[in-house]
Amino acid sequence: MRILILGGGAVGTLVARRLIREKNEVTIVEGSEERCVELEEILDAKIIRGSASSIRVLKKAGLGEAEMLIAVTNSDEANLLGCLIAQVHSEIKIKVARLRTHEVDHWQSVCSSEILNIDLVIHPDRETADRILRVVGLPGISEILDFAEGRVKLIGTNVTQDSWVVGKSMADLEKSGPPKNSLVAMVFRGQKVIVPRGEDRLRVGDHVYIVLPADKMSETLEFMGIPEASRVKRVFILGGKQIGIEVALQLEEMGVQVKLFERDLARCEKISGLVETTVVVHADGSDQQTLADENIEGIDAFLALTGDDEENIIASLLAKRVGARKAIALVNRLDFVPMAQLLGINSIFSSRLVVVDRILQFVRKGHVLSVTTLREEEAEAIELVATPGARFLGKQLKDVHLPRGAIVGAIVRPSGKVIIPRGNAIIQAGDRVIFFCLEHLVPELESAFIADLGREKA
Amino acid sequence: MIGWRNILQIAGYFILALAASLGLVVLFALFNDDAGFDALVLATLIAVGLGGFLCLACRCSPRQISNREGILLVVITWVAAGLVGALPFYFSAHFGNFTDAFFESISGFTTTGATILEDIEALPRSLLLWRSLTHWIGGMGIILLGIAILPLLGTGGMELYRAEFSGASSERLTPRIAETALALWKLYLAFSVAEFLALWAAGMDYFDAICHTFSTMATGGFSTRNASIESFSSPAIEFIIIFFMVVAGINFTQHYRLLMERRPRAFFTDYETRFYFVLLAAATAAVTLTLNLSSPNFFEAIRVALFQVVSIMTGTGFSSADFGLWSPFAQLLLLALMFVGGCTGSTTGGMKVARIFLLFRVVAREFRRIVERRGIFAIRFNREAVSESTVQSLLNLVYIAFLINFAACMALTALGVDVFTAISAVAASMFNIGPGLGKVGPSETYGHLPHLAKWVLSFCMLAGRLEYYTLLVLFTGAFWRK
Repeated sequence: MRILILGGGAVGTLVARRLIREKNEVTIVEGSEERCVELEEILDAKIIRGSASSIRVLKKAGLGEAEMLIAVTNSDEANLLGCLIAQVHSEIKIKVARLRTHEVDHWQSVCSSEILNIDLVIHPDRETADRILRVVGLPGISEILDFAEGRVKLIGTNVTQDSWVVGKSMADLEKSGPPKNSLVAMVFRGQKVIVPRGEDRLRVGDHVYIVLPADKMSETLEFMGIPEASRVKRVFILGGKQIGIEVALQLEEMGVQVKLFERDLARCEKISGLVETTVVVHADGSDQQTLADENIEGIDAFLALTGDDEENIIASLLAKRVGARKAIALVNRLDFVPMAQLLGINSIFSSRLVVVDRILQFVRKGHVLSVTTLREEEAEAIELVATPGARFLGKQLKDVHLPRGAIVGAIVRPSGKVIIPRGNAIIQAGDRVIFFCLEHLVPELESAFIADLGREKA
Repeated sequence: MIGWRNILQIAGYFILALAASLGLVVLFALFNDDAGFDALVLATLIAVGLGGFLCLACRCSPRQISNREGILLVVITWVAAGLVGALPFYFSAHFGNFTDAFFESISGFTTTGATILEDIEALPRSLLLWRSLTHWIGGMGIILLGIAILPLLGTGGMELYRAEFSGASSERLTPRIAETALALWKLYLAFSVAEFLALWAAGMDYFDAICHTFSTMATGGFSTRNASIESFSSPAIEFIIIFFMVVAGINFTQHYRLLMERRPRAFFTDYETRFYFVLLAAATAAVTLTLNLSSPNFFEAIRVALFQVVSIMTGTGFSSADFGLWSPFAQLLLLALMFVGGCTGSTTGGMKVARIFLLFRVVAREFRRIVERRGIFAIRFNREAVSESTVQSLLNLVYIAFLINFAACMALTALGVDVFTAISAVAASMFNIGPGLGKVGPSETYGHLPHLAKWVLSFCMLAGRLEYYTLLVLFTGAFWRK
């Protein structure tokens, strides 16, 4: 497929790299000359320097031949204009745009109207807020992902020093009588991604992903020694950017007491007009004394959501030290993530990755139900429906020779029955398959579960 | 950090590819019971051995090539090509020593076409074929062929592409670099087939037609005859060769626009292509006028002038007349055309038409700046502003070309070569033309030059083919520092 990407920033680059690896032809339009030179070096894509909202530039970039447009420049206006130009001057079938405006709900109808015909509008702040809210009340859990309409869950958790699982091998865990149907799917250790086998042991600092049926959630938490969800009462939010406001509004609705720290007075005044019960505090929320004065002791969660990665990391560490039960940080620099996790921040979210996931999921639409990137671009969780005639169907899992670095996490039969498979499980056509694998194995595995994928793409 | 294993492994693949092309010539020799057979077989075996050894000894999983590794790989591959290409010449008895064999080989790959042979026709036909084939391989580029067919040069391909392809801007024909490279090679092949058929139809035998096709499309200049194209004394053949020399001197990106994308407007409105035609026409007119004074037939004078002008400007170096006997003005004009060369992205040598054109504009801007002291003037090309960094690197390139040129001339004169011969020999080597003027003119050879001079000129040829920086940067300390 020929794909035109507007904007060669972090999101554009991540998406492009994946799409290129999946044998698509990618052209990127980027405004900064310096960035163009960098992109040339790291991507096997055609790079066109120029404005994403210039008709001439887009035509030069091959608007006429492209089949898909992904508008992810850092300007909403440019993204919308790019889509408008594509609508008028080309036959492009699929258009995806990122919009940051808080008026996104109103824009939704404009975007889907015949004038623009944008197929997918991504609002990074809202999508990230959704992910954050799911784990606010679970101190030991860094991430929860839903599959098969919530029937299967993937939870991410950090192995801490005081946990009983430290030093235990997979076989040991198996012997200690875990809840049936749960499985350690992947372990992130520093820069490494491990699909654990019987003899692999867990270490302090590992970030572990466990897949389980939804009804076994509390059992599994108990087994792992992770405190259960309690009612969230008090939450501090650092930074009055849009994502902070979004989260605050949703927490309010759940009846949570929220304090939002923002250093800019004018911004504070503006926010206080938007929120109901949230207390907007005009102070530096990364200052220990301030936090103590505002009664940080015993809060359920501290959310560092400023635009500054370093500040978010430092502030959450501080908050943890002075008594927050859970610290969540927004970190966009992806190479910081493993380090921040090691330092003890419970959850880390990147709004960039969230956008990348949404785009990839959309690009692969049809055969794949969902795509989630686990940590930078090293591994993915994929959910798809197996089709008749595919290579891996009708055989026992132990006989299909899954490549190293891949694991089938769950099978959901059409009846709704969830199976966390062992070696003797057999996948049948129509099953939903949820698998986890290193990123470079994705195309290979997808084609093993879905027949005709190769032909369809060609 | 330079990943030696990685690049030596890839260089091994390139050498194996060269061995394969040598193998084709061996087959030719076998079926024609040719005298060059033994030398070719020996050379092929050595090439297979060397390439195979590098591939096996440096076996590792391929990874992305960095900027530095790309430059190093390109230079290593080109030097290796020169060495491997020299083997059959060396093993045959026709070249006195390895210096001569290497000179002939590197002159072939860089599409220079300068020869040390007094009597070309005495060479076995298989070696003549190999001589021309080195042109054809080097013309579009060894590395470019590698990018097209070796999947292991994925993302790093762009670095290599830039290091080898002349004046390669960031513009790709297709989003994937491998497809761009493949498209270029396909065009090149298609033109070559067309020329072969045309020459054959015009009365050349198939062997001469193949050899001259290879030489023309690569704008090389090796002929199978001592008297070059003159020996065929056929206006039809001359016109066919003129046409394909002109074609080979145009940017292949423009050919792609015209033939594959069917956008003739883009082709004909391109500044460089236009300026190229204007220069060719103007130079031909000037030379015709100087010739006409001594020649009775006006149309023949035009044809002779056109052939020589095209041949020299595109850096082919065929001759249909001994221009060494022409008036000093005509000779000097040809020398000037050597510096200009063809278009960027073509198989020609020289500074390239686009650069000369930009250079004019830079100079013109300087004058405007003197008059309009506060004015800001962008340099425009093809209706787009050229960035200041591009202008800067253009000026640097011109500067370094003249610097090497001058240094090489000094070296040659120090070795006892006369000034006019030295200047034209260096220009003809560096800009990949072939025959120069004076004692290296079209009826002479480079054979009589001192050994050391041949090495200097070999260096110039490679420096010119790789557009200076790629080769010269290896001689800077910064390149090797971590």
